[in-house]
Amino acid sequence: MNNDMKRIVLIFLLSLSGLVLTARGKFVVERVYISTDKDCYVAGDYVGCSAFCFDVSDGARHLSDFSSIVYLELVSADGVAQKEKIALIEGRGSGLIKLSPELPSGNYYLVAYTKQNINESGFIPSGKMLSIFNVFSTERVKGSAPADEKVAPKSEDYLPNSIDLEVLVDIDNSKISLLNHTGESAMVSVSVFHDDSLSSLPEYSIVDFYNGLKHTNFGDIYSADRADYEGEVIEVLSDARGKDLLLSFVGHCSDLYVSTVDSSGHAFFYTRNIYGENDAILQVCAENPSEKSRHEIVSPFIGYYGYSIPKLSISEDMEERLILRGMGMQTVKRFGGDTLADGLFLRPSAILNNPDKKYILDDYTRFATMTEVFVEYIPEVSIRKENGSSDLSVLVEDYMGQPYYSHFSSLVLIDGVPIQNRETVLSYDQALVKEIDVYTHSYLFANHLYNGIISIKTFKENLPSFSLENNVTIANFNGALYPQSLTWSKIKDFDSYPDLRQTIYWHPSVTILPKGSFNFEFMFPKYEGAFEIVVEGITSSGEAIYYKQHIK
Amino acid sequence: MKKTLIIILLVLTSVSFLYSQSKEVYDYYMDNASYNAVLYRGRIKTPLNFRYQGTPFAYTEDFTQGKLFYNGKEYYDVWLNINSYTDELEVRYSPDRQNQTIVLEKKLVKYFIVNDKKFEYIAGKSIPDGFYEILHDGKSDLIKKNKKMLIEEENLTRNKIFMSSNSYYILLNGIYYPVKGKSAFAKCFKERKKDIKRVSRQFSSLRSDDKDAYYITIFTQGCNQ
Repeated sequence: MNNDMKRIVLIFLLSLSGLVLTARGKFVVERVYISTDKDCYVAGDYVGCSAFCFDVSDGARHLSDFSSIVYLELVSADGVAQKEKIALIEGRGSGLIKLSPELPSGNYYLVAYTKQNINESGFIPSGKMLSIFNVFSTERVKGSAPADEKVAPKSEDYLPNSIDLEVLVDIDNSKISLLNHTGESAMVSVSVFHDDSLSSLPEYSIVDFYNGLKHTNFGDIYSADRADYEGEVIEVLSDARGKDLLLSFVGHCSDLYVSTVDSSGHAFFYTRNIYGENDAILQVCAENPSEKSRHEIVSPFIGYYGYSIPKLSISEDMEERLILRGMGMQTVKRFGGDTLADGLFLRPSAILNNPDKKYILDDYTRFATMTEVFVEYIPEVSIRKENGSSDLSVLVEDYMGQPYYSHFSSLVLIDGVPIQNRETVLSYDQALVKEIDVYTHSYLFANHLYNGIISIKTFKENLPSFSLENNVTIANFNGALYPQSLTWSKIKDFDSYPDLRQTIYWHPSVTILPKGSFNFEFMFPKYEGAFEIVVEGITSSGEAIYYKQHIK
Repeated sequence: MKKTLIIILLVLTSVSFLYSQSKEVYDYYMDNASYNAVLYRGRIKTPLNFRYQGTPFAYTEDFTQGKLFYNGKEYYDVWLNINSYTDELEVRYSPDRQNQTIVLEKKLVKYFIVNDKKFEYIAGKSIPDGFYEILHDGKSDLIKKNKKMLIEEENLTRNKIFMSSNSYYILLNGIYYPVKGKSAFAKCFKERKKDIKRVSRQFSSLRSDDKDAYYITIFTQGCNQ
């Protein structure tokens, strides 16, 4: 074989191996990094989280546009203490975790993963270590015991700051500027917090996460089952095999989903991201609503807790600092400090946002019954008698905007929950109703076509005084955390606020344009102390950014 | 032998580069989700219930598979069509589901590509809000707005006809300039007047046959965009 031939065969083999590799990794391999506002808390505190979900399947590190949900578990040596979700938009997401006030003191591991990771063989979630002290209880996580000696402060030597980012602090005017010296956008989280040296945990930043990736062996992904592409895929176990199930959420008028229960009793609901704590309503689409059936939402969490977590050291010299922390946590709760959080961008709902007709009942004469309300001032809805029972029909518009009645039934929602028995709608107490929205078009939910939608909203938005049918199951559903920042911009308006905040500025998703800057103001709390600013994130090409500076 | 190996090598290499991992996973997801996918929930368009000539759609009544970026997610091989009469993007789970055509929330459509034509939803600018076809995307953009109007013939037949009209715009330094003829190009790119005139004369036959091609040629060759 001459040299040319040898070269061709070599390239051929290399190319073939490339193909094999591509075929092996045909599913997206993801890894999640969570940055937090600090690494030490008291039970009852809020933990500011910023999620960076990376697609590492091609050896590169760029934000993944695949998964839409990150699953978080707060794990101690005792087991999984809390489970949360963060919604992702193009690889980024955030949320405030409210730590349970009953958490025992200890070190916890905050692990994060996506459903793609669950499909990866040998995957063990990783994350960030947090110290949590309970200032009201002496209960400790297994293995945590008071130390006899003073706890050694953590080393001040850590990573050098990124040269790509410059931080200018103007203490006199309480202003900070972040200057991005790169020619790329920088996506970072920014935290300014009280540095009271309570935590003795080693520093862990996005740079460590990146270094860890170099030594990670990625497992084969054997499936992409029910990956959370558009939003969370919710799995339900039901005994209504072969029937269609409706999934809705009390107070969420845009979130109605339909799925068929398969022969093994599973139904999968492909949802957009659902936020907050909710009552999920599961019901069978049946002609006979009194037919009983049982449904259960399957937990998507791994629940693994076999990690090696260092013990938390507690010493007497921490007392004063812990008292200050405890008071800070309580004042936030007592004085509604948590209501000062700023809401960040949510993925919008694509449907049922703008009703064709909206009736605020207080704008009209209040009638005694719902039947009168519909008859007297909602011309788009007619009450029809069919086989001895009442039905509500919506006058829908055709292609050219001409109204007509169709033979398909309409959908009636009260606070987002489909009500199949129309008699119960008509006998509902109208005094509880704030608004009736009418959608005069046909809507499709999976294979269910509804000829117009009547969406009844109550003042309380929680379906008050309504007796649900026998075929309904109510389940607690914790959706994604609402993305929020704690910039405390409104705190200036509250002079009497006993300001003992530990985190004085937290923004989980700041984007700084190439060669651009991000400027913000902060306010020192009403106690003396040392503070620290930490900025971490990535550039659009995936380079890590880390910057830490003491503010005195 | 050498030639055969080179061909195999080229084929394999190109396949390996073209192989899109996210597309593979996306397909898997959509196969599982089928019509339960979030994309296929929404307001549906009832079919037109009268006889008409022409089409309310921009090009053809047939739905074609295309790529769509909607509500922050990419969707591939979606059966879609642009309705120029209502200025709405319509999608179907499969082409045979004619009675289940879903109208997407236009504000959430970033772009879609169908038959190698790219459309974007443009709103809040100096031009009317709506879907625009991106004819050329370079140093500056050339875009087109197709509108359909329903006309009823004033004779005994009372035929209903969808009539088409196009408007063109140049997007230069953030400003939209309407294009009503070749002079609009000369107005935007004064320094290239001679080239615009030359290209316009050279391709004058396109002016009546294919206005899109005529304007694109002037824009790319005459204006050097």
